[in-house]
Amino acid sequence: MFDEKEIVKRILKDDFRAFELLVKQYEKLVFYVIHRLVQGQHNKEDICQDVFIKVYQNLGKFQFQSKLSTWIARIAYLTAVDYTRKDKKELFSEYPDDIDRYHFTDENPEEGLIQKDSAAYINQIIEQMPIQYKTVITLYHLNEFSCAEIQDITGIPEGTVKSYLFRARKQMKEMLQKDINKNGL
Amino acid sequence: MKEMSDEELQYLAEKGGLNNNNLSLKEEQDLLAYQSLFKSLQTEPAEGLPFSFAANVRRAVQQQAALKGDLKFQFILLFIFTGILAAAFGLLHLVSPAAADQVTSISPKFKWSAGLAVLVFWCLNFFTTGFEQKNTMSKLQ
Repeated sequence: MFDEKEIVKRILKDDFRAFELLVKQYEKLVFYVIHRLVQGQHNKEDICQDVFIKVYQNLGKFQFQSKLSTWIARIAYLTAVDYTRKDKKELFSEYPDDIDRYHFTDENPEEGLIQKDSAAYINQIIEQMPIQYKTVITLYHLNEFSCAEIQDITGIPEGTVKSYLFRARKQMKEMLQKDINKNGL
Repeated sequence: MKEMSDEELQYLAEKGGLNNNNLSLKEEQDLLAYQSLFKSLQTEPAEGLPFSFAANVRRAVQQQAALKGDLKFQFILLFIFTGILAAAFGLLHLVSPAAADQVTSISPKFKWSAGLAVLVFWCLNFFTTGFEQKNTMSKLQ
């Protein structure tokens, strides 16, 4: 079994094999966050490596006040936000607060619905969403964090997390239903 | 009967409850759509990190740590060398103040060559250890 405290203790004593174990344990978590939040030409593997280097450099400051996974997810989230800001394509302020007023592109991802499975289609919809929605959807459904943990990771109040989740899921369900009807599936 | 709200439907879909006979056709369709959506949202991305990712990160971190340790060692070495010079001069001053004064008067003439010698020694040491470290790392890989 993976013992967080033991692993951290070993890493702080310069046991690099223990660090490798930690990376193995959390690489999926970090990849999901980076994969969903960082768009563009960035090398996602390099960004994930960047996240783990930050984890290593700051591990001494980790006080076990939260789960290690929450702390690592926060580093991954902040790194993803940094990369997104660098790109200047996805600044937070560019998006309306209300997803109901957010216009998804008419490039018709639904055209691919017949050929592709619904998970790939959903991913296409998520890609067009504002970063706050992408974040809560990913952390909640893919990384299986609770709303309280998402608050710790992102700093978004728990009530707002719930509201983002609800509105994003409603919007996606409606798009999915509309496309299913349109394609007669 | 009052129709279920989307909030209630999402809650029901999350709990996995579809065996509710009191649902209207529309509610049932919505519930199914939510369940299908949740299943899709939980599907892992098709791409992923390479199998060797953890080992690569470990190597990168190990290299960084070694470089940091090495730099620390070089500075300690420089500090010790300066300390020895200062102690030797202090001792000379105690044993023979005249000789110490002579050294003080001569040393400005050689300040550049002495400084250069220290710098060359320090650089040589730094690059040799760096090269050795690179070799060790490549053997580890």
